[in-house]
Amino acid sequence: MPNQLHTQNEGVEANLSLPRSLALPAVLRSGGAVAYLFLLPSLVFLAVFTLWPILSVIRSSFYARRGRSQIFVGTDNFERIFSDPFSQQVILNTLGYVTLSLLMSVFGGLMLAILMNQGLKNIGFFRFPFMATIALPMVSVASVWLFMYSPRVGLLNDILGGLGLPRSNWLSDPDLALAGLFVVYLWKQLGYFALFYLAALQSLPDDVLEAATLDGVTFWQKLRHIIWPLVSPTTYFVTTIGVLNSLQQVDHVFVLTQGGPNNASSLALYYVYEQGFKWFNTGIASAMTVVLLAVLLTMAILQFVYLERRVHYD
Amino acid sequence: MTAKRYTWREILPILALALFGLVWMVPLFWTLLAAFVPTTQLLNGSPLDWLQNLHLGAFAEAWDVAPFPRFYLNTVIWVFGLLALQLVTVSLAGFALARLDFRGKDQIFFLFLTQLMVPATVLILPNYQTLVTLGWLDSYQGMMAPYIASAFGTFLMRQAFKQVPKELEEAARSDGASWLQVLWHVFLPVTRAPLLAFSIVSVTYHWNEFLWPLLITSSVETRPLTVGLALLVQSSEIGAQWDLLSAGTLIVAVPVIVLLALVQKQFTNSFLSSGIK
Repeated sequence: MPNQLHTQNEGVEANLSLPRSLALPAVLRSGGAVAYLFLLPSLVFLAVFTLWPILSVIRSSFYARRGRSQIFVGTDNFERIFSDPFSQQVILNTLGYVTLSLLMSVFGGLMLAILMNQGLKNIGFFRFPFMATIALPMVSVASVWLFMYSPRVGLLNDILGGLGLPRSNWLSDPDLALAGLFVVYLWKQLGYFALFYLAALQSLPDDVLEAATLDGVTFWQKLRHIIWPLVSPTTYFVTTIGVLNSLQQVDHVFVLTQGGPNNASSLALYYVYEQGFKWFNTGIASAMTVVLLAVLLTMAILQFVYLERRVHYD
Repeated sequence: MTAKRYTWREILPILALALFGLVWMVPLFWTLLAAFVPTTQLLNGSPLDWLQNLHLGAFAEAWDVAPFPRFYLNTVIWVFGLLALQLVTVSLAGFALARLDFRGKDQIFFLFLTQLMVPATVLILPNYQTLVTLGWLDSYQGMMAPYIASAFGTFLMRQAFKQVPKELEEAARSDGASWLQVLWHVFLPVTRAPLLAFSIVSVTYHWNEFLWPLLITSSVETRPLTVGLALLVQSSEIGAQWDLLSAGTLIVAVPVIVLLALVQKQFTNSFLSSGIK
């Protein structure tokens, strides 16, 4: 009997492996050549529109236009970016804008998600307002707010006036223009960040949150000692996409302020556009792009380190 | 209704959310109103006057002032044309990364990661120069080019393909099917959900895109809706024709809102998967 079983097994194995080894030569069997063919379309476009532009923009950040020719100027462009008051202000604007949007995406997003997670969990109706603004084009959103901010017909000043707050011409006031852009971004994107927290909250076991309610702890204690630590991976994730997301927003600058008044609301990417496409200072625009790339690279490295650490210690 | 009675503790947060949602919608309601009420009435009339003067004139005018039908067509061509190309590239690449063995896999994987780290928006300047070299300015393929390879889509499909049982693949292979046939007949039919999720994200993202099309397009034959709207906004700012502006805004926004209302749940899930774009 044992002997018979043995031979039977061998027979099965031979049957399984025979057709494959006969059908194709070794390279194709492992999928090698086929794999390269399948990857080719993506690789061509990645090489031309992701890899090459990174290299070429780094190169042109060391050049400047003198008359008709491009000459090598070393790090002049970078020195100018960090010393010129105009671009200094752009960098400060961007830092402020990104910091604010980080705070908003983490705290605002979490609070909205907690609100959405109460009671009737799966009623999408109540979430619709926050989903709708995510789905709308930024250009439409910005023109909605151009209307809201408008001194004569805009609703915002009427609301502020009604609440006893001072009316102001948001977009033409240098102190308020950037805040005005930020409000637009907040209105559009808050729901996006809440979405990630909502998913995190809903994946927590019910008894964790309910146990806390029963013990009579206050909402803030519960938030600080139970929810906050439990959603910390989401917080990290939201932080990363919050920075990526806010650095890329530029459409509302076009529609609402064009960086004005007096450069008060210009952001890094808008500066790249102005320098590169309006004034043809390719070197300066490239240098600012390289600064943005450096920020993105740092974010990526931090994320990598964080993931590594979690794999090791969790 | 069920017999369950809700306590105030349960009702209050829901009321708060509903109220918050209503406040959130005020700018949209105001725009909606402004599109149907002549601007002079909106400024000077009472709400009763507004109701008596509702009209569709602003839509007709917006439709006249800017060639919106053409902008719609352009948007549809560039957004769905791009999606069609992307579905091919991400399926093929995702399959290779998930199911095939080959040399240099790690390096190629890293190349895709680079695109996740560096969004195309940041690379407008060098990519514009590349399009100049290729002679692709003011063309659909020029608008599409930086997005045809999609790391996000490739990784999404790679994940999905990895979960398909090996037995299915082996059965098809031992019947003599080529890898392309395996992908088409075995893998794609069971990964419709991630394909749909990717499609929703891609369509929404590019339907809404502005800066890149603005730089690339220079004629009515290629300009998408977003660029058309921005031009309208800039031209009507002088005259402050708010009904016209509001109508234009709605013309661009309504398809997205309708799509969202129809498939909100699918939409929500797709956006969750889009975190890394």
